Amino acid sequence: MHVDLQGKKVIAIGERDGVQATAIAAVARSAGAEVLLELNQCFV
Amino acid sequence: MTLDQVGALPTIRGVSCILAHTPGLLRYGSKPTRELAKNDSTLLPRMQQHLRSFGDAVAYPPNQVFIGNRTPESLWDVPEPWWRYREANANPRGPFGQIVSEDAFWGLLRMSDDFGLVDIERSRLDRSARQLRATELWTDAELERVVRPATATSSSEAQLTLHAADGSQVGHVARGYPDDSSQTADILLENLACKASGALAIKQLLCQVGMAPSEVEYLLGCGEEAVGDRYQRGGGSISKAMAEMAGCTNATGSDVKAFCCAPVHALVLAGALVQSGIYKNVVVVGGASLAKLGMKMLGHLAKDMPLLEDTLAAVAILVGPANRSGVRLRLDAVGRHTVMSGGAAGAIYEALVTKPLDQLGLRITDVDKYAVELHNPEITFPAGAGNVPRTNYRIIAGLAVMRGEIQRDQVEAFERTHGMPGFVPTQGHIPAALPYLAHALPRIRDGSLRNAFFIAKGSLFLGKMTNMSDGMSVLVDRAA
Amino acid sequence: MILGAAEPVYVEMMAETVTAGDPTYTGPLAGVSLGLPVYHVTEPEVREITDASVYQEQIALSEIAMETEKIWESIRAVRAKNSGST
Repeated sequence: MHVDLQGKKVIAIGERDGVQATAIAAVARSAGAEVLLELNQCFV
Repeated sequence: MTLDQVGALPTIRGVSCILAHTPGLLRYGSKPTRELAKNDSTLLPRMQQHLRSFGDAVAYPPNQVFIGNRTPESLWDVPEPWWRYREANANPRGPFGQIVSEDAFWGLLRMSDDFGLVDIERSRLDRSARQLRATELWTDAELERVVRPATATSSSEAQLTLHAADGSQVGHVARGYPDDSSQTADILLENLACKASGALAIKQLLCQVGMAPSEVEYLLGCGEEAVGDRYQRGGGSISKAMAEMAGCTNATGSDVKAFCCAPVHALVLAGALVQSGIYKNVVVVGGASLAKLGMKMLGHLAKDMPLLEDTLAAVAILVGPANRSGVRLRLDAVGRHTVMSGGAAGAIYEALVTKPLDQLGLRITDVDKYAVELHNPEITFPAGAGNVPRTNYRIIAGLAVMRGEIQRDQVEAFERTHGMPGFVPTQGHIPAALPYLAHALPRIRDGSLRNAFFIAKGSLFLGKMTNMSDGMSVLVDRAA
Repeated sequence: MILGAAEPVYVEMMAETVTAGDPTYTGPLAGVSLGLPVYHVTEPEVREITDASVYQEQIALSEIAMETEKIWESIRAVRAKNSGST
């Protein structure tokens, strides 16, 4: 399936030991998205 | 300390690791408290059916690793689930520390309480005092504190009722100042559990290295409890409270706060205080985290497993001056996750791993053992939280692939060759790498290990002050 | 919604939560169907629209460390199951 993030609003939910929210947000912005929220989780 | 030792690398003199099996206190963890507040009458009985006996907790292989009766690597050969495998003739005492029962811990709580807040029935305290006496760590005067009557009183709504594992009532914890949301009974219980376990770890450490408590000059606490009142929530220095309880009469202390990353920060700072010549003997101490008891219990109940987060853990480390054959703390190459490192794993691990190793002229594969967040995967996995050490080892291995040190098909094997299975209870800052220092110390001394690298990460974002995480790392090796 | 967690089981649970509703019925999204399109940051669909240098800098190392095939399988299953709502 093709995904188009141009002009879309994105919520980035990262994890400390996975990909963190700031990194997800950088990816989404490079694809033309507006990042509404960056949140990280820690499971321990 | 002579002048020529000032500036030389400090050494690790000893590490203690203690556990307190506290199934009765499990219900006061953050998650159980929130779940029990939902008034599902079936939950508490189900929890109680899934509690472990003291014997089961002692015979649990990861706990045997924690106190040093087993190596972490030996867990590779223990059939899963580890909780079904009961160690034969398991000893609650090991070379690094001991596992104390809840009966003994009631006494430690009472001993830690200078304000008469914890009221526990006398018959239990008498039993506690006998058990604590048998550990040979406490003086008669200290043991007398176990059986003092509590003096504080609270209204029945403000006090917290303590229960044993079988549900029977044990006593009460009073609140601090009325209308002080920083001193409710549950917060004071958390703080006292941290103080009591930390003091036990200090006692154990000093006994192991043969040092009089009066010789300790400074302590750095690295726990996550917020000790204070309404005007200074988290005011701190639980380390000095622990020092007093452990008889370190010539010491003062302060706390280092950096979530789970604090222990490695504290170790580096302790080394710097010794290297500078300000103090000779500095203790880093991490007390237990009562809030994390039962954190993954819903996952464990769903899988019909015992509630494995029934154990408080604490660690203490003695840092001393340079020594010809000592195990050195390589302060000449500390890894730190700076603000600029941001949130990308590549930049974070470059800051924490490759930069300090480059400074020392080492390749990633030149480090014999990496200690990362050593959370026991058997606790985290059933709750959907994965295998934390494995993820970390794969990232370090990935870094080695990107640097051309290993092939991509060697990533899986890296965990076995340069890592270890997680063996530490999910006690927040306690699993953050340093429990392995207890294992590494004798092995570096006897030459069976050249070096070990310790990496801790902290979830600063949980505090809502920044979206960043933190990290710090340091290598230990033997003086040439 | 774009996720970055490393554990496939968790990714699946999280994806289900923000599309059909919390499958564990423990959080505020229990029984609430948001129907949000959800992807994992390592998925090819995300990668192909991301600036290559940004991807290399931000994601490449994590991707090596993650069991990406399992993660993709989990999140695709959730999307397929809830495709009517997205």
